[in-house]
Amino acid sequence: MNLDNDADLESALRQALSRIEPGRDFSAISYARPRVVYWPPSRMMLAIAAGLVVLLLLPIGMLQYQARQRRGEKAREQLMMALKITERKLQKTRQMVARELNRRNNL
Amino acid sequence: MKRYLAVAVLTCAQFACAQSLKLSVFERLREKASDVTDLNLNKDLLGFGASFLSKGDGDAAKVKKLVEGLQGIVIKSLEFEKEGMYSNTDITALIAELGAPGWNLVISADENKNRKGHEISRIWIRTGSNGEFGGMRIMSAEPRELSVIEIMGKVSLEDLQNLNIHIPNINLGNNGNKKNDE
Repeated sequence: MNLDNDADLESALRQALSRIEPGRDFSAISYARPRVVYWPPSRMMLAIAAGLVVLLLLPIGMLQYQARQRRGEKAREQLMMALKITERKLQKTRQMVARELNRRNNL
Repeated sequence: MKRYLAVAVLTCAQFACAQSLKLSVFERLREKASDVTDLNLNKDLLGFGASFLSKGDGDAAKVKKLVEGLQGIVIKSLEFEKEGMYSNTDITALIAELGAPGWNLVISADENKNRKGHEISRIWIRTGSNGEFGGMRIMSAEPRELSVIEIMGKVSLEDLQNLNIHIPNINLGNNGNKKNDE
């Protein structure tokens, strides 16, 4: 066994595994936020995005408006038809009653 | 205990009065009819329809005012190509159903009874719990037409009869709801 070599090895290991003090800014670097590449939006980009949103929402809004109009027109027609039928039947009943009263008066 | 029982009975009576019409006669005769009108308008639909009334709809203001007091309108009407498509039994069944407890017969008119072209008209009204007008049912049987109307809510016969309704785009003689399944 070579004692010199062992001593060298031990010395080398001690040196390699010895404690090294971190640098001053080590903590700052460790705790710092990861750096994100930020692309600052320009006004043009924002305007285009807003335009796209409007272009998407406009047809949806138009379709909803048209569907509501159609439902409303149909409801209006049904309402008018219901009232017209009711009015017609009431008038018919009134006429029947009037004829019956006339008939009785003439007897 | 008696008080609770009375409340329960009254509640059940109200429910019985408010129950909707089944009118199975109409379901049975539907296939024989050439034209079918089947309208069921609840309060929301009435209000929605009224909000779309224009100046061309006769007395739009009167209609809107009238509709405000209504809870719903149900109309079932069948028109037939020829006479004799419904029987006296059908009429009797309808009268029995329409004149259910809570509904008072106020007008009963018959023309040409026991003859061809016999016409029958009946009107029932219902008063609400506070004594107000609660609804009206009309049955009209003509040789080629059989109709039932139920109007729930506050309405006056005068208001209904005095409406000046023009419906230019709906032909009631051959109404738009042919075999209406909507």
